[in-house]
Amino acid sequence: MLTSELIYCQPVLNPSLTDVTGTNVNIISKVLSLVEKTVIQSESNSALIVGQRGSGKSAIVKQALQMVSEQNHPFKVIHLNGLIHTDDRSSLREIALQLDSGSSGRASLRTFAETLLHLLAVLQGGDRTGTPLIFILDEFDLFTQHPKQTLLYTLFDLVQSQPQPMAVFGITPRLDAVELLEKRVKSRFSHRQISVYPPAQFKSYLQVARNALEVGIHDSRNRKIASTPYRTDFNAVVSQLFEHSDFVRLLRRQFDFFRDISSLHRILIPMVAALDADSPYLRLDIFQASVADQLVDMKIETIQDISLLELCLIIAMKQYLDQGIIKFNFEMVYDEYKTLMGRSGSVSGSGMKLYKKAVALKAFEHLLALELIRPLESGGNLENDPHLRASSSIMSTAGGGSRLASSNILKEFTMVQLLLEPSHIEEAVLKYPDCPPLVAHWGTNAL
Amino acid sequence: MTASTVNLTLLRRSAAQRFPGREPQVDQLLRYLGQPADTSPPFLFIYGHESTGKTSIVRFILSEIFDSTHAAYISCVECYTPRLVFEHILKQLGDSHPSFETGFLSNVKCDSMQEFISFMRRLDGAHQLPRYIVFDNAEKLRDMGPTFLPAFLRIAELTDIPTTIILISCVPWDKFRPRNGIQEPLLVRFPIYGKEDTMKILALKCPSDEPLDFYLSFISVVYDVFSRNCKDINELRHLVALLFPKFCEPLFDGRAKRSEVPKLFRLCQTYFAAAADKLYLREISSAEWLRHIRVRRPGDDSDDNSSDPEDSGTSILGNPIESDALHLRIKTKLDFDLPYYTKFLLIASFLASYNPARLDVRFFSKGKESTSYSKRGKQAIQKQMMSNTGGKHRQQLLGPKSFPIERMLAIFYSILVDPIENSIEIQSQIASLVTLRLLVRTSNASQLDGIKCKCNVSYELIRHISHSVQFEIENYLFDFI
Ligand SMILES: Nc1ncnc2c1ncn2[C@@H]1O[C@H](COP(=O)(O)OP(=O)(O)OP(=O)(O)O)[C@@H](O)[C@H]1O
Ligand SMILES: Nc1ncnc2c1ncn2[C@@H]1O[C@H](COP(=O)(O)OP(=O)(O)OP(=O)(O)O)[C@@H](O)[C@H]1O
Ligand SMILES: [Mg+2]
Ligand SMILES: [Mg+2]
Repeated sequence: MLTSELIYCQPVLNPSLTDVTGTNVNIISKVLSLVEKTVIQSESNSALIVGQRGSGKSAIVKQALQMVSEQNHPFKVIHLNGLIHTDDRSSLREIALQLDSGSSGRASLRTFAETLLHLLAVLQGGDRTGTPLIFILDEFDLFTQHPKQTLLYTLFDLVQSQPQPMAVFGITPRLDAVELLEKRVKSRFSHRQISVYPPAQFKSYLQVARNALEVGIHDSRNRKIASTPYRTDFNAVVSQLFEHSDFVRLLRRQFDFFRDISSLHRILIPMVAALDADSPYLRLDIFQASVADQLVDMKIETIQDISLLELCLIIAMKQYLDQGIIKFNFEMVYDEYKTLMGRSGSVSGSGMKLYKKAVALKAFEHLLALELIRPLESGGNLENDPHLRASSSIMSTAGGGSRLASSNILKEFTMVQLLLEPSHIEEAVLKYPDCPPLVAHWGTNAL
Repeated sequence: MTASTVNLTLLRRSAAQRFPGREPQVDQLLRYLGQPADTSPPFLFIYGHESTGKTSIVRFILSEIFDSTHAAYISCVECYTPRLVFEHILKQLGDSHPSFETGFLSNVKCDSMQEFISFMRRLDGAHQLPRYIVFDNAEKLRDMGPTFLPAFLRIAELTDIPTTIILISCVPWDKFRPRNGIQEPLLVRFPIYGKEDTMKILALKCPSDEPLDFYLSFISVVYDVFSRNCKDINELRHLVALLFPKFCEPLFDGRAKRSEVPKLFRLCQTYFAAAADKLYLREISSAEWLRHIRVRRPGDDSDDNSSDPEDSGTSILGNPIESDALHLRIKTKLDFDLPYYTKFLLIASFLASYNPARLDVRFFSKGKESTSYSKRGKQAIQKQMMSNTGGKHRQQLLGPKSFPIERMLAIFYSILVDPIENSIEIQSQIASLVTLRLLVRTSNASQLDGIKCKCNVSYELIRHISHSVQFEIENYLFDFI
């Protein structure tokens, strides 16, 4: 209830309230002047805006466009996103849609060529002559993967050759994005590059955090909101927070690790989301708890939850690693596991038993499902069959591939690789709940 | 914003009753999600091993807080293509608002992210409450193309409607990050249950006619016996459901009393041992298990077919049941019969797959020499090569090598006791072994000569087969332990 009330005025909940100018004055003015050149002085332009994830690129562009639109000059913005418009066909369709938003549905029926022609016709004249066009290509690097880069080529070429004013802004986290352009595309690009950085000083980082939490006096349409006693108190509590050393220390930690604003928002939001009628003000203890919830090494946690048998198998694999052997299959691991269990007479006393192969195989497959081990593609087994090899590599590029592969070979023999460092294993063994001393010994000592 | 509010304290309490041992996780989730109209963190990642209650708890909480048009639940196992995912989400989010604008959603067609976004923008435009999209078994999302998940995480930015994406997975988040960078989630961890919590959860299913203490003491032992290799609630539940009737059995035929718990355990110890592999590995189905160890409860014959003569016959003797179940297992695993010569073909393939080719002459001398020669030969060879036997890279562990068919045939002819006069059938037998996947072709399918294969059969099975034709394969294998 409370956050829905705050959403009108609190930036962390409502990104459109964020004023990103504070730390980015220079960058915004650069972007702004480029846009103004196109919109007001009818000059065409192209530029890349580069910066790490969450550094505020999209927000900066948005704000610059907002500022221009307040000057009452006509212009049209076309937003494309490389994640959504994954080929030239869909990009063109989207451009067409955004250009004549009146007759939206129909344009999508056009063919590739028709859409292109339509686009060019709109650009070249007709009733729209002169309306400056601003293209924003978010995730710019993904557009370079379109076959032949036709879209990029067309746009950059138009920027150079058309009388109609237009600007193309690419947004990307890749510093080497220009190098992804084909030669003929590259030669048409202005090579103007604007870098965006997250705040460099902790002080400005703190200021961003404070701005994000404090409720403002404007809503997202920039209308003034009346101040209420609750809002005044709320901001007073925020001020107190920033005087608390533990709060500042935790923010400092986040700053030293990440620095970008998205990650700052990530740790602040739980505290805000937890507000309710019973506790209407931000609470340090909730902040501390939610930060602690996030400070985990997931791999080690995953190992702590596996069964003792699975842990023993991992330790058996570690024995191989210690000998410099990095590829093994289930048979080899089970053999080593048997050796371990047989090595020390005290096994019987410790209540551990040697599990049958089939039970161990089930455990082994569970480790695969958790992606603690990974089947090796080549496996050394697909010797002469290019078909098989090709298909298996397609599957594994897709990411998953945790199955003990292929109909081609008994799963016991598929070679796998352990995706854990020996030091990880040692740490996990030491933390494993109720670990029998014997297993702890195996896990931490090279035998 | 016309959303109702939910009494979170009540919800917390009812969740605690339904899901013992998950209070911290429920708290954490409620803290993040809050009221229907509240904004939530944009991205949650819920992870934990199998059967830790992820799916049930998330679905329970979402259904209690949100109405179905604001929270969509997608199981990525069921929806395994982008198209299915899009359409299922739109169906759920659009369902209960049949109007001119959204009415067509019941059979909406949506093929691409681009269309999906424009549908999402148009959905429910009037009151834009935050939306929630849950992806269960989210590791499967990675199979849907590299831009699929990153694009979903931008939904809020692209539609201007606050949208929370919730992923549920057994695989840690590390394995999801694509090369191009991605937003980071807030993590919610569902750890595995300890003994105490496990017992509380299992006790929820205590049969109504059994005293709770009695049931608990039984569960406690089940946990102690099986937790070393399996802490999965679902697996334990399965074991409990099938073992508990055995445990109670002596109560009904008067062999023990309820107070004699240790005695009851002694009486059902064999079943525990059998359960460890047969049930756990699903080598027999639970129906078979019940059939094979069903007993008649005296005075309780309302029970369906307990009067079946076969069933009651086996149960009186106690032990036959055990061996019966064991027998069943061998049968299901190894029971398939091959023609006599085909067996030898398979044996020869196994030998060719696991023995080094250079030793063929010494193992399989053609002439009339008896196996005893080969045996001696083998010992000599092993002694000679002692330096690299028994290692961790022996063929037995590495698995089968591929071999040219000609080599296998040479071995085949030398191990046959009686020479075979007509060998026309051999090729078709090889082909049928390939069809059965007992042999696997490793050479290119279009290649006609120089065919290579490998043997795809486990040692246990080949031993079983060779014994059935009185062939002692152990004596012909190099470096097997
Ligand atoms: N200097 C800043 N002051 C206040 N808020 C900021 C600042 N920079 C970024 N933000 C906020 O951080 C969040 C992330 O910013 P944004 O989406 O623009 O990043 P981005 O660089 O486009 O990231 P990505 O590469 O992932 O697209 C937004 O909510 C934005 O409002
Ligand atoms: N704390 C609990 N209290 C009661 N029942 C529980 C609890 N945890 C799990 N269960 C039960 O265990 C079963 C499996 O739970 P669920 O399917 O939610 O797990 P999951 O974590 O989604 O597993 P998976 O990763 O295999 O999908 C369900 O029947 C559920 O009711
Ligand atoms: Mg961006
Ligand atoms: Mg589940």
